[in-house]
Amino acid sequence: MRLILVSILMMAFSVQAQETVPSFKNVREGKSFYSKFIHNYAVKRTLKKTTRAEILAIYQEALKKQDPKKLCAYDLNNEITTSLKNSSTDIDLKGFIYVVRQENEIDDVVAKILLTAHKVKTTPFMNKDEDDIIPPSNNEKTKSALDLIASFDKRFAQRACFDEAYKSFYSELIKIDKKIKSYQLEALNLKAFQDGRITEDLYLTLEQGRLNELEASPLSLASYQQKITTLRIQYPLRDLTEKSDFTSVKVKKMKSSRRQKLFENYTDMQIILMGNVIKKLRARLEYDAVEISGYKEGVLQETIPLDPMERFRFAIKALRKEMTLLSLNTFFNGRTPDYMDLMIASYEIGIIPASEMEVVASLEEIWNPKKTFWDKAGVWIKVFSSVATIVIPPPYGFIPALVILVIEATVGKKKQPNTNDPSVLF
Amino acid sequence: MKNIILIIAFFIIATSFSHGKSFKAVVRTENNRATEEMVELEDLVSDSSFDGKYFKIVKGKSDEAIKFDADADLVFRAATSYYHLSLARNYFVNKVKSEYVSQFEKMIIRIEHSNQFSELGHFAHDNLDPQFNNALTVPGGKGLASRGVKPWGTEIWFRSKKKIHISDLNTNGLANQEFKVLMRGFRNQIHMQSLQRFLAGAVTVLVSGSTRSDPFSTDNLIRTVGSSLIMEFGYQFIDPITKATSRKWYWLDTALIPEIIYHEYAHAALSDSLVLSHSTAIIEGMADFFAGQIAGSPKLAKHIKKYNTFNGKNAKRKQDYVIQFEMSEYANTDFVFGLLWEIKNILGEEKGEAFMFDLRKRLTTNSTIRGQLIDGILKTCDAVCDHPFVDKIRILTALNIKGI
Repeated sequence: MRLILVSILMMAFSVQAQETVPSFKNVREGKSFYSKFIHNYAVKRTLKKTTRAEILAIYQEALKKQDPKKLCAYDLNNEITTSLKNSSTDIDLKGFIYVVRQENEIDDVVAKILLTAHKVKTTPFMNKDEDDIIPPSNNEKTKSALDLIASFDKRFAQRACFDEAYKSFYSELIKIDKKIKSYQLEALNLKAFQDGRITEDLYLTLEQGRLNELEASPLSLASYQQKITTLRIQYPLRDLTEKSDFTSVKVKKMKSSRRQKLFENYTDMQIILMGNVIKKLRARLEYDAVEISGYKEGVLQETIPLDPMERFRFAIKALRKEMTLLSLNTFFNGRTPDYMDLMIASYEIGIIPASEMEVVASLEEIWNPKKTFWDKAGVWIKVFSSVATIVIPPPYGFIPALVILVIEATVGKKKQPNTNDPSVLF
Repeated sequence: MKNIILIIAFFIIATSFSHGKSFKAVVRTENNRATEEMVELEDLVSDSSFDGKYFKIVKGKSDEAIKFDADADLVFRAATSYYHLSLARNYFVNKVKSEYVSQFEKMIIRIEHSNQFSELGHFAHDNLDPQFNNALTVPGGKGLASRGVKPWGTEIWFRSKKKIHISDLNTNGLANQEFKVLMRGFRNQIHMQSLQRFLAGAVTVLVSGSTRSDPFSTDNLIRTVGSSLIMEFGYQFIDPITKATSRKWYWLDTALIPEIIYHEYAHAALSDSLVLSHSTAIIEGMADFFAGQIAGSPKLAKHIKKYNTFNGKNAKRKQDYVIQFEMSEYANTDFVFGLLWEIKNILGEEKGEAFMFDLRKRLTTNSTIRGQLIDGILKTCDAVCDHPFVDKIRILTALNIKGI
């Protein structure tokens, strides 16, 4: 009985502790996404002026001052900047954030949120010639939009963090004019300032939001904390020391790592659903036997056992089907997650350990094989050779025909020779 | 004092019964080339014949060990097979730690032996087709006392070499079929190309009335029809052309090829699970794998043209699975060998070797590649692999690429 009471008290304390001191410690990522040369240079420059210990002390002090119920990257950055100024340490906040990341006090997701906030707040005016700005037309829409801009501080910014406030502001603006463009908003901001309806500070702030397209900013500190808290409560981490470099790999054509992309694009519920697809795949890959059963009027007619390789390909087919079905799920609103998203989601909720990530991820090669240089070149060589078979007169026409044959026999050879094999079911 | 006398006595007995003697034998160089070198034979118990602690080399049906002063060619074969059999035994006893092999009784090795094997009578009648150019491992038998056939243990038989004309051989036609498919594609391409050119030219003439090169001109017709005819000739006569240009004679001197000796010994070493009843893809593939391990090379019976005109086997040869590999006619292709070699590379040299030795327990001679072999591999991985889940995925992915 006493033990239960103690446990309840400990849980209460831990919940209390969670509420009072927010923590963004890195517990999942291995090598940082920001561990490249250019970032290391910023770190070196920062450490010339101060020490790691001092940076961590400033960060922890600033974090303590944050309201856990109203976490805001802009407030946290402000607090840090103020502390740096007070301690007369003239260092760049970027370098500061990289050091904090290196010390695993934050992960790459938080680092990106803080870096974005820093970038937004240090964006200067564009200093465009006023003549280059097309003035807004004098109509009802413009009037309403100007009223909305003038009310930014009172309506949006008082209780919310700047990124959330700007998003709310922009969604209201869209209601006034669905097709509003960035250059039109620029003109509206200028007009509001020229008419004396907003201060210069607010004008700069709104311009910073517009120039950085803050309305499309995918993740705030508060929403990340909410997502991570839900995930950790539902799927507590079994191994706190487990870290993976796989999550830090850059996503093609994006400025994000795989893990950053996951939290920027998906909700906690979506992450759980995605992780569960991989959980099923994992279970299926471990099956000792899979059988196809045929029934007629509820009576078993026949059972066809699958060969080991058929079982493997069945697991892959089932995975692909479930990936497609996921996009039809109401929680996903038609968004189709890719296999890599599923992998990171499953790692995040502890279904696939770090040591297995690379290998399980490599399964994608089965249905989505990488094209080699010769695969790509082979297509073009075949096209030119086909033309050449007509253009080149006999008896030399055999040369392009031979080239086509060689390409078909080597480069074009199927990477999955069993696709059309009639001797297998899958 | 008593102990010293005992040790000296033991030493004298051991040295008098176990001789080390040098003979010329075929060995492999570091570059896997075949060469003839003097080698020392271990564990001989006779100082005048190839009678050792673990092997007795006899000629044909004889029970007497071949004498050191016998015919030079016979001694050369006896020494080569004895030397490599000793290496194979050491591998299974010391490296793989096979309890089964360490308990083997002295094995009779027959060279220049042409009789077929009879499960009842040990040797089939002399009048039955004599055998050449191969080797086999025969299971022990109880004998037939009523006919004077004594019981025998597991034996390895190396046949004599015999020149055979290539046309008398039934070769594995799979590679040939692949080439024919390619040739058919090339021939179709050439015919289609000639037709396209002719039609394009004809349409141009009919529409515009003139063209720089008239497709109906004698010169163009000869060129177009000629190239198609040459192609068709080549395609129709591909078999006789291939025969005319390829090697005419075939022979295989099995007692002089190290990898064949290892392969046969591996059959005996694995016979605790893979019973020596008939030749299947599994039993041959497993024996090939261990022959490759003992030889330290993925190539078997290659670069040894003096004694072998057979193509040999190569574990690294890229080939996709075809259902015919399950048939006994194709038991000696190198597909299973390549598959097992690849799995060993996935798991690592040390782990892979132990894995394959453990795998034999989950197989039988009649196991299929697609069924019991893959199932056995997965179950062995569950038992042996450090990270079964990850290693199994690696293996399954590799097998999938092979088209199994």
